[in-house]
Amino acid sequence: MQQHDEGGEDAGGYFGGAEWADVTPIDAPEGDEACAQINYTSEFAETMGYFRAVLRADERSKRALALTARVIAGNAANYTAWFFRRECLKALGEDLKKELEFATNAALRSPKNYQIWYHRRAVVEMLGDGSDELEFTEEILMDDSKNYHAWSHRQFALQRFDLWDGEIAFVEKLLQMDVRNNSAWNQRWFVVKNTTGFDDAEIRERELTFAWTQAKRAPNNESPFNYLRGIIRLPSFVEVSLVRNELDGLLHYVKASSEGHPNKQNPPPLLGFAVDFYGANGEPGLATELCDSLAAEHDPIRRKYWAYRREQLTPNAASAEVAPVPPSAP
Amino acid sequence: MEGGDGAAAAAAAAAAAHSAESELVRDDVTREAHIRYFSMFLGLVPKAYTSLDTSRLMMVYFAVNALDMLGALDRLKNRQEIIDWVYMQQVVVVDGQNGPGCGGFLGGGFLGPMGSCSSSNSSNNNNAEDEADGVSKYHQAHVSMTYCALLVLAILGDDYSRVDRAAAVAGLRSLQQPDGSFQAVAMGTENDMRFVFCACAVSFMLQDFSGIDVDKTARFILASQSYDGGFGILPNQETHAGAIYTAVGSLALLGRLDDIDRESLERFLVSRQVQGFNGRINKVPDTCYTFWVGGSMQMLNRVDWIDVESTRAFLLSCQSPIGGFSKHPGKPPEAYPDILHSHYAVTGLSLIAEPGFAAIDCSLGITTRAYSSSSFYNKGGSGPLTGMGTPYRPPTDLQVVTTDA
Repeated sequence: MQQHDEGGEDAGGYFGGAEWADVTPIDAPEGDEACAQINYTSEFAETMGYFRAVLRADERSKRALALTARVIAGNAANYTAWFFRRECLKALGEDLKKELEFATNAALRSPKNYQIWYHRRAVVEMLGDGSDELEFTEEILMDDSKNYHAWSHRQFALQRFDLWDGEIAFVEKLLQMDVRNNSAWNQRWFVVKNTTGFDDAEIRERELTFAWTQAKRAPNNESPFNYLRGIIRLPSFVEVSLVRNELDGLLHYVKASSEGHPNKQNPPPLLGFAVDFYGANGEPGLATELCDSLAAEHDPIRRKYWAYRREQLTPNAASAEVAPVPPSAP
Repeated sequence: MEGGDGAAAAAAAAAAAHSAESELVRDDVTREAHIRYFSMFLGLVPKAYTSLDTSRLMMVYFAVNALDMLGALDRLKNRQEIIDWVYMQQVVVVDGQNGPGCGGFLGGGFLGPMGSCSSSNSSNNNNAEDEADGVSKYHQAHVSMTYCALLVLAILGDDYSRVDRAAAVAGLRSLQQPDGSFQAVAMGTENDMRFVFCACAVSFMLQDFSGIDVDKTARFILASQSYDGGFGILPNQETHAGAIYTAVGSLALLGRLDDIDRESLERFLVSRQVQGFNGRINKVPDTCYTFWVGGSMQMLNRVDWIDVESTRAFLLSCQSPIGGFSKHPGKPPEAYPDILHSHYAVTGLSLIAEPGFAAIDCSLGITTRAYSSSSFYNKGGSGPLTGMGTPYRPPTDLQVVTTDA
């Protein structure tokens, strides 16, 4: 069984024995007009012929289960093969823990395949047990810390099985490894939002301080500044002076350290955050100046955007549109 | 001040990108090579593409659409054959097997012939003698393939007269989830913003929104806008430019673009340009994001914020001498072109008004020519039809990108 599941037998003889003698494969002939016809290997073409026959008969058997592994080994994106595999698992009452191992091996081979991750999730749901999921997603994330599928699956497991306890620590570990890992920043927002929320002043202050600490490590990193923007636009946000002090301090530090280095660019993420903050908090003059220096010197690739922002900040333009950032989306 | 491995890695990546830029920028678009490259995908495709066996219609869309962008559709000798092949992928709905709720298109013949379908050349079909006898319960439409089929038909000038509209609309209805999102196939797949967009685009092209709950759909999309202004493919997920494109495109086609927090979305989008465009914060640029980011900016009427010269230089640094474009700068053997990145590089060049490239409407990702000659374009004069609300913009009224002042 295990052998079949891995699709690891000698390809040439797979269908030659007695096991498949009663099945007539169904071909999928196409004429010269066929578009984007894939030049399959002959082994895969043969496998697909038997797969069609099994589907047609809706045969949910051990050999059909093993055949799905063969189809998946040739094309892991065949969503019908995955679906039919689950039908077989259910009909046969297979050991789902073993199936999770199959999903693990498949994901380690193709960590960015949607169908594999969906299958894993479906099996975890059938098991009603998510106890392996944090460890497994961590293994994938240690190899590729921005794997979108792994983060998505991790969010599912955290919510579905209420596994929040160590998650902030996990996020901090990843940010310690790479402060520019925006996936980890997003995860931090997700965890705070779904555990304590941001309504408590202590939590807001903790998060603001965390973001500023990380911003100082790398002021050219958009992630902490977006995190700050997220907090600032919360209806409960009142810590204007905390943000102003930190911002003034960091801007001063950056400017001072670039003095005497006329060609040194100041970090656009920091300056762009300052445009938003000063513009919304009664200092449009400062914001306008920053727009000019961003356009001319520090961020010329976005000069048209900064010219637009400057225009929005000037009193006789549509100044009503500048002020407070709108409330966050529901 | 800058600290951590991440900072070092980012600096190294930037330096590598810079040297790649100076070595690899080529001056001109090699049009003929691209035309040959895309034409290949209408015939026999190398086995390296086996993973697209269930999505062959997507390759056909990429090929036909790129040829249209390149002004080379008239080179196609077999336009009617392509149309007939697309119709052959239309799911035949049979009660007691796959009906109802599975209508639309499959991506290719991987499940085998369905028997008599609505194709006009059924004489080529082996099972034609016994009508639809090949249909099993597993013959179920995939919403992305229905989307690609309708695009290809529109590009080739077909009027949808052979589309089983009622079945396709019923097919959408069976895909929408309680949270407003869509899965891809009725039997059960992941659900996310990609399939929301395909469902909106199919409804728009068929000019029939009765297969989707528009309010619920819009609520799902708005719930996926992140604290940073972008969109994830599901609520709570990291902002990703592909998700942004599908979210913004859905809202544009539903006439609901005014519902989003626009200022922060615009800032997020414009921040993606780092010569080329990246799709997420602190990732390296990639050809396909020219379209996902730039296309979103077009729908928001902000395409003039794009730095055209940088965009062009990046795309040309990914141009392959054998035709097509790779994901990242370089040429074989360090970087090979693929059909997806080649297609989106071409749409990117259309977007920045590269001479010789047709103008593009980004809500559907087709030329304004194809759009305005389609069955879903109101020839009465009031521009494109939309589902609800106000049209976001007629394609004849597109902003033209100008090079720098």
